[in-house]
Amino acid sequence: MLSYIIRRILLMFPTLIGMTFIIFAIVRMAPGLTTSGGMYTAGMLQSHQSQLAQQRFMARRLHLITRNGKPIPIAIQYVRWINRIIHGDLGTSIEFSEPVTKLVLQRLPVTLTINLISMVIIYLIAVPGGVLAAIYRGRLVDRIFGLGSLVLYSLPIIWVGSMLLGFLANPSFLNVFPSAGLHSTNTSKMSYFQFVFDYAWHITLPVLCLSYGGFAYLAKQVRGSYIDNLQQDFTRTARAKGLPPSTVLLRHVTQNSMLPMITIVGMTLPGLLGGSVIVEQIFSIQGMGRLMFEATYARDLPVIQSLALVTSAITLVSYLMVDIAYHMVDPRVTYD
Amino acid sequence: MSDEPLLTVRNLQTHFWAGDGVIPAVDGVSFSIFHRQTLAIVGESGCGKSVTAMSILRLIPSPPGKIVAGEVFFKSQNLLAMSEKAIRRIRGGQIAMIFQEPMTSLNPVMSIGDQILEAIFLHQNVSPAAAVDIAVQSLRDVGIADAQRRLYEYPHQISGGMKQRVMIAMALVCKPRLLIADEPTTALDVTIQAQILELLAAVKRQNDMAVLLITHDLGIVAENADVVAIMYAGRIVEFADVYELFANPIHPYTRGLMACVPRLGAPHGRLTTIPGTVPSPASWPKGCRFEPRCALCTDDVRQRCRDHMPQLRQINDRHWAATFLAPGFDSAAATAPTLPFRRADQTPPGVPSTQGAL
Repeated sequence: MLSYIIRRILLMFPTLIGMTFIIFAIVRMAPGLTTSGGMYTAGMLQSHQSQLAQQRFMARRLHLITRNGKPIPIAIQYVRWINRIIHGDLGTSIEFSEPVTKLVLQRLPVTLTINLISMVIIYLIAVPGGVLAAIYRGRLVDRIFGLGSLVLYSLPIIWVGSMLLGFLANPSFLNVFPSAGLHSTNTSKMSYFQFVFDYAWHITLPVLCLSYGGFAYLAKQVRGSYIDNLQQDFTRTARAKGLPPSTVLLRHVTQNSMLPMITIVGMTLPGLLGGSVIVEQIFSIQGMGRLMFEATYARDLPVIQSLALVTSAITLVSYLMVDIAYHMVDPRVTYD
Repeated sequence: MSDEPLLTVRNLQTHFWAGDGVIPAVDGVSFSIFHRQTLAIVGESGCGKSVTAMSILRLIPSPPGKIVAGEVFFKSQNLLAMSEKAIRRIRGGQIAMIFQEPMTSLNPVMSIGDQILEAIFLHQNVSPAAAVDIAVQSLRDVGIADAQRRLYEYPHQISGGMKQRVMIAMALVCKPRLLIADEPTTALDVTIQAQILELLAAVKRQNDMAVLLITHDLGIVAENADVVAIMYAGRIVEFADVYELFANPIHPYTRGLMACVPRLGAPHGRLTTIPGTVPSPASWPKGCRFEPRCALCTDDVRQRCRDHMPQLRQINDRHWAATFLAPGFDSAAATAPTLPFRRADQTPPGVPSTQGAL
């Protein structure tokens, strides 16, 4: 088991190196980022500097030229970028004039918390729902659940988000939820429980937005694999042994239906991170998604590059966890 | 052999609801099994033999299936009338079952030991250590070497024949009175088939139990069964002691089946077949369901076969058959001509020779 995990982690490095290469290449090829320093004007450069000086300043900050103004070959740029990453330096943001590491460390926990809460909610609804739909296959419960999740799946986040804001966080209609941010302004005066409640109150709408569509896919998979396994020969064997239906379902069928659920955990997290870009924008949450949006808007190359890298790394880690979970659940999975 | 039957099935009817139609997969089946007896149910695919077996333990998936009528008496309790909880005590306890597909009949993500222990804890009140001992012993009894280590292995780590041995061990841990074996060797290759059948015969002797053997292989029947029930289109068409049946088959379907068995030493030529296929329940004739394929039906009985369903009638004390061609049904039929599908140079079919092939 341990040797498997170690081997699996070692296998991540080639993938990671490939990813850095692709990210670096794509960012360099994107138009408008590095070729004209003239893009970066807003507020951050002193007015007395000439346009040339501004461009040189930007090129220097992006590690495109040496101190003496000589252009650095692209291969060397890549190697130095990797070297800085290894030393924990993700560069300095152009838009925010702050180290990217600091920005990521500020924003990542916000996004991860909201996403993990959404994921738990998705599983809490989708798994029991899917199992019920499988047991009562073709009956009313199954049809209502199937239709309901399909309808939700089809609603675009951006529309649902705007509707929620417009109807539930609007003084002209129902003003039940806050419209922006994660905390009220007077958090310092709050007790711990008030603080937690305030936080929960703020994230309700964003979490709703992130989770409502997510469980359709998972529930369909859960339903499918339970239906499949309920008809398997080993289920018949389990019943022939004299096991009660609850044990047959919760032990034999569930064990065998875990695998697709685990796969989807691995796919859901990266998917939710993508969804965060929209949700955080709608609800003005200072998370990774919003940072990504702002950085792209401002052509903030170090931030874009770093966020792509961090997202890739999170995806890789969640796939690693999926593989380890597989290994624990299914004895047939070996990498020997 | 005691006089009370161990299991009596009376007028069992199991129907399946598919789409807009009802398929009467089992349509009025009756038979009895006595202690230490092996009853073989023989028939083509789709004749209802597996459904009969599954109906006894009420393992028919519902929906779409439902046992609509009949009684199954096991030691004077009606299995079809008892509560779900009571039948669960019988399943795997007094009546155990093994299946056709050993490859898929074991849970792939549960160790062999856990699957056997599950059955032990369900029906016996023993300590964990004692249960492990029982499990190890049960694996040894079915001829699995290194039983201790096998407990920790998973089904994918052992061969198909070994899986069927594990299934048998699992079925026997609670010392059932009746073992239902639903085509236990169909999915295995011939040498393993022979081993498994030998094992079944041995465990039957050791455990003093009765066996209901579902098969389509007459060679297996001849070797293992005491009594044979031939099924066709949801009904038993012939029921007899095994020696009696092979010496004196009466129903045209049984005769057809026996003629189909290839023989060692017989002159080469095309294998005999029964023309046509089992009719689908939707097109079952009103009368004898075998009539459209029957090669023995003569013109003087044909109208009767078409109009009336022949019921199972006793021919002698060891033989029942459901055909108007049986002696006693009709004097004209009693002098049935030479069977067209029996080769002229052959004596009446004795024990078919697939055993020679084993």
